[in-house]
Amino acid sequence: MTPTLVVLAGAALATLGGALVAADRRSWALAAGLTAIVAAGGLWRMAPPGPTPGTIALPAKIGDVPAVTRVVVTEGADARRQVFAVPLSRPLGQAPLALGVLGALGLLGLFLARKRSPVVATVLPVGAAAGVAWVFQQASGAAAGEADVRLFLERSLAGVDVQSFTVPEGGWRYAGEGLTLAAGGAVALMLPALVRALRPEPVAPPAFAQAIPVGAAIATAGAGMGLLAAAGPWWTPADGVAVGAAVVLGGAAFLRGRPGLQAALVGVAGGLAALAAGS
Amino acid sequence: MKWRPPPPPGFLAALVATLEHPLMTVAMLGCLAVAMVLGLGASPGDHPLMGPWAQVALVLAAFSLLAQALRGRPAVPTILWAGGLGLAAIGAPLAGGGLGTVTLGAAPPEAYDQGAGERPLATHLGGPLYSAIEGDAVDLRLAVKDAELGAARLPLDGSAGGPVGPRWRMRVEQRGVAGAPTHIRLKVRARAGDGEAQTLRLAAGQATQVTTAAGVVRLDVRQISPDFGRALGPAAWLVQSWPGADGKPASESAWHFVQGADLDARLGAGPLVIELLGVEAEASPRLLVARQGQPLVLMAGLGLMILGLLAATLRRTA
Repeated sequence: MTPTLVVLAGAALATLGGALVAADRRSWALAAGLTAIVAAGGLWRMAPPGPTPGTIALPAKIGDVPAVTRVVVTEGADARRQVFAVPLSRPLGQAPLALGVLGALGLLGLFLARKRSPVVATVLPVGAAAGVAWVFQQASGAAAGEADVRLFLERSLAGVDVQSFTVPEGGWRYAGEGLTLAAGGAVALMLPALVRALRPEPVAPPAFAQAIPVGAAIATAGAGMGLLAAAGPWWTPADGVAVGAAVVLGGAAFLRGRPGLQAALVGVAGGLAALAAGS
Repeated sequence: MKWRPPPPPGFLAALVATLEHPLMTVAMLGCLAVAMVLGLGASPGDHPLMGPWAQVALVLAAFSLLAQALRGRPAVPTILWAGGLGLAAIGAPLAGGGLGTVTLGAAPPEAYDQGAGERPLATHLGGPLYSAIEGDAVDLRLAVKDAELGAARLPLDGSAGGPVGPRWRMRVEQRGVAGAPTHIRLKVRARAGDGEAQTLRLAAGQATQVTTAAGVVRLDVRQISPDFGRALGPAAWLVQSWPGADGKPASESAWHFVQGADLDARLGAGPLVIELLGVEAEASPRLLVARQGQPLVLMAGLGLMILGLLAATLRRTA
């Protein structure tokens, strides 16, 4: 199990323990909204940028190596020839919109959690996060052949006089697994809040609240494993969000007398842990 | 009876009251969370955790929790966790800094870009960093002439890092895209007709020696072009050097073309007949580089945090 998945497991345990024991289900609806907002912001930051600003495109890979097509183009009046290696990618037109909806519904959930039904306040961000995971999952996957490269060139090099191009041997895949995992992880971490919102009374006995410090300890151990795994800390984006999730979760464990603030911090930590798992 | 410090006057009182309010902890941890989300798009060496404001937020969160713990009932778990957080914040920069990147290529790099943001600082590694890709790993060797400063074999998937010499530690960040040509494949034989033809694979900037009946010929790869003059296709600039008939060194410098493989046989004058078979582009992995540090303080801090959380669990169970 990779260190970031250990962090995710710790956050899941803390969320489960906190939400199912909570007397106040509105606090956990609020936590779900915060998870959605953190996940939306983080996914926007970590999603690979497309050819134009504000767009997202999944990179094509063969194993861990980017898949490229070599194109021969001509330019100018004397038709001078140029050869480029262009990394293949698949633009996701609907992804920015989906992330915007996730952030907006998370924000709406924050307001509805206090004023209206906690069920509606939780269902909205959970549904939006599931939608984002579906968008990334649909765009990921294997591809092969001349037609896919031709489609990519028509989208990305429109107006350029392409004379010929190469097709990577053996096919390739569009790498969106990390983004799908992060969005799916956010859904999983919001489900306990949804379960709690659907039930009028706490679902688990009070002793189950121990899951928050235990989950925080597991997340801290996972973050530490990540820092030591590669001969010391490198502060890669994954290291950063894993450590952030562990610290915020640890802080939440000591705010037992403030259940609202505790739930909010666990919600934020959940979003960070989901991003760590996917980055 | 528990000892409590006397209440501080005026401004200090307000400061302490602010510090020990639970919202202070939440606000600082919230700032940390925002910094970590922003860090998802940061370049290596520019992560917010390396910057002062994220570390100030960490330390303030630790102080805030400590203040709360000291104000209320004695809370050993809180003190342990907050102390550990402060220790980890101090230990993080001690565990190794100067993060940056270096891209491996045909020519061994001698410096890396420290803090690869908008203004990277070229930092000398102490010597050229030679590399060779073997399957799923890259062999690294930092050496000055015959003196080896350090060597390591690192997985290309970046799952592990390791020390390279006493000063640096490295880890693969990206396997890289095969872009500009880095190697040529060529067949060489003696123009005099003696000996068998040899097939060689050479990198740009590399030199080799070919022994013929007439003597030893040095072959230098000066430059590789994927498309010479944007019209003539893949080519390589090669220089042959050999001891001349009168004892003076002689050389022949020429571009060789994949699409004109017989040109050298017909027009060349060097002791070797060269037939360029192909031009290849090898992926250039990008490495993360950092100064070696001491991670003990950071690990001690994380250990204390875990201890504090476990103590909190035991305390509640009791």
